[in-house]
Amino acid sequence: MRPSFPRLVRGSFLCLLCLCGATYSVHARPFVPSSDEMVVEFLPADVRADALRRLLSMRRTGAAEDLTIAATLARRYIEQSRATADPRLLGYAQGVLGPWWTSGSAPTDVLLLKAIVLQSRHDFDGALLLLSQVIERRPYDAQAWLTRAMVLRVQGHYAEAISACQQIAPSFSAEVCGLTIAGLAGPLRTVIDTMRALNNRARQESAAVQTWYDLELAEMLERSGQKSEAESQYRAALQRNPADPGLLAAYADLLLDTERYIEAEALTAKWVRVDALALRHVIARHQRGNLKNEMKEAMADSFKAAYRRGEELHLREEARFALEVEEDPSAALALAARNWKVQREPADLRLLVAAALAADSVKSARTGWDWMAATGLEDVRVPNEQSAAK
Amino acid sequence: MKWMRVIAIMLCALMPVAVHAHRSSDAFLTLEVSDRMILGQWEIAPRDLEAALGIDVDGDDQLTWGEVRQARARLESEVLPALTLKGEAGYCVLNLADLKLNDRVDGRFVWVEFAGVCGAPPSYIEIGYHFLSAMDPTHRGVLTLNTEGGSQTAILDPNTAARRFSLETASNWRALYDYLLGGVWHIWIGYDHILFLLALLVPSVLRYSGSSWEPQARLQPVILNVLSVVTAFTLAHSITLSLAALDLLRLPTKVVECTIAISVAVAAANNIWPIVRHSRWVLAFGFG
Repeated sequence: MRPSFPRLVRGSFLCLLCLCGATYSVHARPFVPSSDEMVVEFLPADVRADALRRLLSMRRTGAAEDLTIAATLARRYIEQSRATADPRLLGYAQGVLGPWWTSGSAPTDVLLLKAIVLQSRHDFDGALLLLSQVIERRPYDAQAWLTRAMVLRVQGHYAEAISACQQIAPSFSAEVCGLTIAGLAGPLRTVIDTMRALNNRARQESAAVQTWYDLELAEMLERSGQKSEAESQYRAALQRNPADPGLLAAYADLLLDTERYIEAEALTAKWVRVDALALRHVIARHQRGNLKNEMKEAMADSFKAAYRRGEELHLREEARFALEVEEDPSAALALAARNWKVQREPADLRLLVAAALAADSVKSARTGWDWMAATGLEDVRVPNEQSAAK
Repeated sequence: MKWMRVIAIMLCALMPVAVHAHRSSDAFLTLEVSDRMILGQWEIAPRDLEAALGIDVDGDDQLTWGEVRQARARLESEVLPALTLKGEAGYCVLNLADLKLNDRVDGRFVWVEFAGVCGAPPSYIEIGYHFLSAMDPTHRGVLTLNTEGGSQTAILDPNTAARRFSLETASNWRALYDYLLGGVWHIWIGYDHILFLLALLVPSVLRYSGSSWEPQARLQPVILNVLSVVTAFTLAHSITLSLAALDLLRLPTKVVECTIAISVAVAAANNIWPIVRHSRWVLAFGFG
């Protein structure tokens, strides 16, 4: 006699069928919109390719190349790319500099702009090489020295970075340059006091320089454990410059650190076009348990797309995504360790140690702790050995 | 009915455009070669079309479907020539066939359908890709090239010379061998598969006597048993994977993972309290 179809199995089948019915979805297919009015895409209002398109058509007709016009336009695209974190604009900057980009005997202005583009793409060694050529030709170029200092700082070469700052003629920027690196390589307290004393002078500077100062000071306050002071610094800075991706990301991190997920989600909601802010948004939603699958998928896809292009500039974000959203500590540690070879800012250090501890790798965490001991870097947000031992 | 049209238009206009992160510029090019014909889809980001052609004619910083449609002739004369396909009988003639939109994970793309005719069935194809070469040298074309023999992918850089892709089909035996290896590997790396099968296979050498398991005396039923379970699982699992790979069926990961766990538990429980005794292949097929 054949056994009757068991109830348990039948039940499971039914259950599965119901779930199939509920979640069955046909993958989206290409479609023809029913109305001409349908908006396909919102275009960024202030930075358009129009100027570049005109320039290129002038080039095609053989009109004389004017380096000053090209350099000005390239500079604008680079500035806008910083302000909006839009990588396409870096591509346009490269397009503007097209005729000189690959030439061995590029004008100094082009070399400097190219170095800044490479820095933005995290090609730090490439940027340093170009900067040394610029400095050889123009030993007093403040922009070149400042860029050099910032690149060396990201790489963790503090002594060289400070000496680059000292090559800049005395100015507010030169002072902040030196202080920010001093604040990484030694006792934070006195540096914070000196930074604070510069506040009135900061307000005479351009919006970009003010934001730089505000962000550096707020991060110093956070590293020294003065969360509420840091928060008021962020808030004041955001009033002055409400759309700066760096400020928004740093403030979102403070909110995430203090488990104010609703606020973090709200702060970043408008800015999910910016990768770094989309990541904070996804983390906040994940913590609140309302992360939509397509958001997670889109995030993972953006990392995949970067690899496809051979880019590795999102290692920090990818490691953090693996650690905090996918909750895969060993993948996170592998990424954080690779990131640490390229970037050595406090955020990278913190990520390395956190991923290492999550993955039970005290050895990798020690890499980070040894670095702190060797450089004198202070950051209360980095889990220390005592707290890890508990 | 006029008012219905108005409502439809209003709804369309109000429909939110999903916001996606800024990315570097990528376009997706899919080519399907069969005989002398090439069918192609080129998915281009609206921003890149705007950059190349300036199609936001009313300058309101919104690209509408009407503006894309109006640019069709310019797309054909200024964008399509940035792509060249050349076989041994020379360049294939490309014609724009249709314009659509496609929603990808990374945003809404303009879907440019085109058809190409080559002088003779090509055994290789040289792809020249120069879209946005001057404007955004960091633009890339993500190529998928499909032939009867299989699929190839590549990243096309608009500032490099044409690249040659062979269309010679790999031998069928080679393909069979690759699939076999792929299958073994898939089962091997998923310990849930092994666990489930083992749970079902353990009683294959046993016979249920009404109250307890006893060793199976003859070899033939053992072999039949094992074969039926493994084949049922293979068939069912192939169907599931095909459905998933073809995107016909999408189940949330959570449900799948949880069902896998249930399946292993059910298979194991069945060994202790046998409900399905003879037709364990049913279990194998159902959860496969």
